[in-house]
Amino acid sequence: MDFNVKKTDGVVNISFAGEFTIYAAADIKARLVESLGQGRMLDVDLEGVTEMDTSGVQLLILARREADMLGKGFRVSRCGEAAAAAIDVYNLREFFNIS
Amino acid sequence: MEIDLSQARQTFITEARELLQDIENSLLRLEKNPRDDDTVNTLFRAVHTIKGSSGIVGMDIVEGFTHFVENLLMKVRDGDIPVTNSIIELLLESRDHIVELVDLAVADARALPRDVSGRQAVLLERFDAYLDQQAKAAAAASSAVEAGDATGAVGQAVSTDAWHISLRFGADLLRSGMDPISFLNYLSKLGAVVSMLTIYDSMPPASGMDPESCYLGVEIGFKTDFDKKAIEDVFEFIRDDCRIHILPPHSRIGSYVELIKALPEDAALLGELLVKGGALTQAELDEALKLQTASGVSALHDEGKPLIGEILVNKGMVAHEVVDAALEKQKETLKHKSKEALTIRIDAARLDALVNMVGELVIANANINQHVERLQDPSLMESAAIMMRLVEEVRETTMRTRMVPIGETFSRFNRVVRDISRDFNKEIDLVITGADTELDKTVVEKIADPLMHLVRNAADHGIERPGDRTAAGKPAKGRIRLHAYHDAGSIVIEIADDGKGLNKDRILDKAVSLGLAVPGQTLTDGDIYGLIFEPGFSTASEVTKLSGRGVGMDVVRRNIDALRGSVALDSVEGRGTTVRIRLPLTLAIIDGFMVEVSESSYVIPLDMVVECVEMPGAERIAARERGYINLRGEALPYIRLRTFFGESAKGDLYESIVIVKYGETKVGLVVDFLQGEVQTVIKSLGAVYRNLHGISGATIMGNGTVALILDIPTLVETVVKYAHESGQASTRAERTG
Repeated sequence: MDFNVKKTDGVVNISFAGEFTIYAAADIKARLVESLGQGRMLDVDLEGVTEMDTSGVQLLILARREADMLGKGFRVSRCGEAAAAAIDVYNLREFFNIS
Repeated sequence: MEIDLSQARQTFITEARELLQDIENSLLRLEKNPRDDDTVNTLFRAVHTIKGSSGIVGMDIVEGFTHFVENLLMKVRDGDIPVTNSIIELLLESRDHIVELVDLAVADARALPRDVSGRQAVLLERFDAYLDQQAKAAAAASSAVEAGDATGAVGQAVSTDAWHISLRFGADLLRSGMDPISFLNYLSKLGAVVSMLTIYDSMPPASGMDPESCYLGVEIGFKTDFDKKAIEDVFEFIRDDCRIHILPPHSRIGSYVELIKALPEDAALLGELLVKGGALTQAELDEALKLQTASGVSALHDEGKPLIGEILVNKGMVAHEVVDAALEKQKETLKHKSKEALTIRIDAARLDALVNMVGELVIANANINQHVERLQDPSLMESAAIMMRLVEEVRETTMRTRMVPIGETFSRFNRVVRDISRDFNKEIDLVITGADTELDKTVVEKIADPLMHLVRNAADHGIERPGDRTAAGKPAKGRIRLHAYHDAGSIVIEIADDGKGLNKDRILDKAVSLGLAVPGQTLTDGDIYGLIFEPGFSTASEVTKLSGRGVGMDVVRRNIDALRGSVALDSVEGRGTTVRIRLPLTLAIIDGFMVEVSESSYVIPLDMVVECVEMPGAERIAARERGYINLRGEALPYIRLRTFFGESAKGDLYESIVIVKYGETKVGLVVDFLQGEVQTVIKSLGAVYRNLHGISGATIMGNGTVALILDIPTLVETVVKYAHESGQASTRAERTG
């Protein structure tokens, strides 16, 4: 799993690439929570994700919920095929603000 | 697609009406014999079919209520609820309510009118009284129905036709290498996931959340043709680690309540999720939440944890329902198949088209016969004769396809008589004979209302109360007899009661006061009773009081007239009344007898022709003086058609008489020539000629000319009336002379 964080105007853009699964779950959780604290809006880019499982989806849910609790924005700005497939199984496209 | 659905709707409507009639008949049978298990089964199947098919064609208002009736019947069938008069009453009323719902659904009503929903609420409340376990909770819940909602209370099924699958994944599921995504993907291969809600409420805040544990759950709405076992098998591998609840389509609201309780999340939240996912409607949720707060059920679940036993029971019950449904379905299919082999449903319009075509064929055939006659070729004549016979057979068979037994119409009156007996504390037996007598479908449809009216009259006004009857020396139980039989090309329907009969003098007095009769006028019994059918007569309120008859009798006669039929009434005071309706068997094709008057052709319906006689010159002169003809010593009134139709007299020496009979009366029609039998297709004359006296229609002959069809009933009436007057005059003349 690779990731990259950019900040522009209080929007934290975090992009992931590779496996977004239980094998990297602890790592992903840490990145997401960390990024949430750094701006008023978290923008997640999943374009480069090659594999996503339930734990990945669950982490996105966590991030989305944390953002709500902290009063911050959350969206998935880009979504690759693998990520979209997993998210669709749980019918969460709307929940993650995927356009 | 839309066309398919509308056809299905049409089929449903026809079927539903038939089934509702069956239901009524079954209930009445059951009332007489409460231990008749076969009838209970028939009843159940009929209700079940209505429920199922109304769901398919999207008539939710019918489906919702019918399901509830079905539930009740299921308990009756299983022997949980005994067959009592009160439950039959309730079921009869429910049946009427379904009739109303079907009508509303046909009219595309989306919501129930206030009065209907009010009635439904009351019915449902009464249902609840029978549904034992949750009776109390139900009574509380059913008040919610009054809001005008079509949904019901406790034991009622939810309206969705999808399975509901509730999953809570075990915390260690992900860690042990299982991914629910793969199971969910597999599930979606077995059917269609119609709703999917992901539940994550048990997930702790970020600080306490273990990214390798699973905190998720899903609520799935799922449509599939597979059974519960197949769905369970999908989750075979994760079954031990997860909480799985599978509710079959149309589960009881109670099952959802139990589901909500069995799940760890907050009930209100879950409920909302279920509504959002389409598993429950808002109204159903309201019911469920009410049930939940009701005592008894919730006491078991106070700690908010699932009771394994409860879930097992729940599962057991669900499985039972599923098995039941499957068996029922099999039975239905079998029954359906055997029925299909015997009859097929045909659009009435197609039959009409066929009848029309056969009519044209008959005309064309007559045309050919004329040419054959002219050519006088022996082999051609032989072929034509064969052809004629075949055409005749085709015609008869075609007409027979439109014939239906009158019994179906008769059996509707069982209910009417029963209801009247109950409402007025009378004891009445309805005896039906000749139910197999067949007549044209269009005639059957149109005669049902007048008959209903007459039966109602007989039960309401004819039959006295038991006390009055015994006082009059009659059995306490009154009897109404419906009888149908064929007679001389027509069908006769009799409605006879052994009630108090009619008082002739009072009818006459009334008629005189209304100006329908003149004081001192000599009237036959038939004439007097006939007055009842006069328009002015019927609406007067006193008539109802004094004679107990007459409301809308003119409407009855008008309807019967429109069918080219006639109605007569006979009564003996204190003994009863008989109404006799005479109707033509068919409205389309008749066998006719053709005659000629002043070079025009006329057709007399053959069934009414008794015989033809010559009228020698001497008899002509004598007849003219007497006003009647002497047929082998019998005096017959007659009419000269030439005079009747205002044709100029040519003074022929030779005339023929056709003796026709209608009902009990015979008269002679004097014509110029007899032309013989013909098959004719009746063409109506159109609005302009509707009031033409003595003519009932026209027909096109083989050579293309038009022949008028004589309206024998009217003619007979005219002749008799005329003969009566002139007869009186001539007797006086003879005496004085």
